[in-house]
Amino acid sequence: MYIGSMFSRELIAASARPLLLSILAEGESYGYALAQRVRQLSQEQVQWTDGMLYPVLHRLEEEGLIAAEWREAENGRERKYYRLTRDGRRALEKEKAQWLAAHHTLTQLWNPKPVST
Amino acid sequence: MESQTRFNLDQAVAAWRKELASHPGPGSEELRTLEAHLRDGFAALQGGQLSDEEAFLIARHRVGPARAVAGEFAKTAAPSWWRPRVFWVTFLAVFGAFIAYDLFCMRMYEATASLVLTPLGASTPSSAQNTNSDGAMSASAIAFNTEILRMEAREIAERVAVLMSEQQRQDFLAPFGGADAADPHTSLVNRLLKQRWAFPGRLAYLIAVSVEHPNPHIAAVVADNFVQAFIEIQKTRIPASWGYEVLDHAPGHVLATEPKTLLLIIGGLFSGLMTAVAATIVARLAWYLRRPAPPVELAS
Repeated sequence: MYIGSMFSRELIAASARPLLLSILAEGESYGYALAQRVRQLSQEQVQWTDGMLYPVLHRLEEEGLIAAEWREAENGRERKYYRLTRDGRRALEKEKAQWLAAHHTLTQLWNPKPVST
Repeated sequence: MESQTRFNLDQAVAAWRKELASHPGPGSEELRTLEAHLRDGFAALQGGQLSDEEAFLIARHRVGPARAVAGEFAKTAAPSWWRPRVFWVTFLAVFGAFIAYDLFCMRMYEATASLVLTPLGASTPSSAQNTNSDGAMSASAIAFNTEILRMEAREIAERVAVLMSEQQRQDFLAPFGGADAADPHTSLVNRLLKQRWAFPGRLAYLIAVSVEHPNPHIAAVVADNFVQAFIEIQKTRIPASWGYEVLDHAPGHVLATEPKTLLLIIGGLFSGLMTAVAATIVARLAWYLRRPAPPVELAS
């Protein structure tokens, strides 16, 4: 799913789940828009191979974290729209807590507070 | 401009879809989703300085290489919970099948009756009479095989059917769907032949008959009847031409059924283990063959 230049493959793969859940927490969306939103949010640093986005969405759907339905878009073509479920919101909260904890831990190591003498 | 007029989006999408579908992984729903994405990407790029063909190539490029995308879908195609547990899932399925068979199949009891013959002129059967110095079977032992075949003959089963009371006949056939209304006697004899087997104890001139039946009492009665029928029929022969006399006979008795349950448990454990190992190897091989191509670094 990753063609990112700055992020490692593993990091992009690991962050795909919280990223998608977080974007869908903003409101329902469809695949192409989700990929665009990731590009925009990461300022092009996370660049998806767009097709790889769908297996992740498929997995989230199987887990009941998101729901999907086909609808006709304003351009007349059909699109699959995804939205977050209640379980998805709970999963997102867990993901947030884990990523923030990791972030907090690393921040302490990398940005040590100056020691007053 | 010339290229733009020649480009047919639907044809290009169909070709791309065909290529994607040639790899294991994406189903029709996934292909539909990816096509919608491709068309969205194309629409976003269309109308700028790019030709339609260029816009399509870039949109297709962004979706990703067909093999890699298909490979990612292949990973999600099967429910993921069993994949790491393929060994235990297979083992429990096979072992469970054995246990279920033991619990739910018709429980059979085995009853055995036996009789001991002695060649005419000898007071007791002796192993010396039945084997030569090399321990090989003598002529008399080979002749004894005829007695086993006699015990297995239809004639004996016909006689057993006569010896049985009406109630015993009904009880015997009940677990097997009852007697054939058109020919109850033949159906009874056929069932008797199926449920019994005879085996020799050559050194002791012993013939044992085992009968399997869900009702242990009936099994014992029928086994005993086989021995009785054999004795009755042989008594009608001229003793000198038969060459044997009946020395003793043991009535039918039921053997314990536990060894069968134990055998099923051991068999289930062994079969489950072997199948689970095989399934794990196959699953790993399948995973290896269907593994997705490594992600391709694409310049954006």
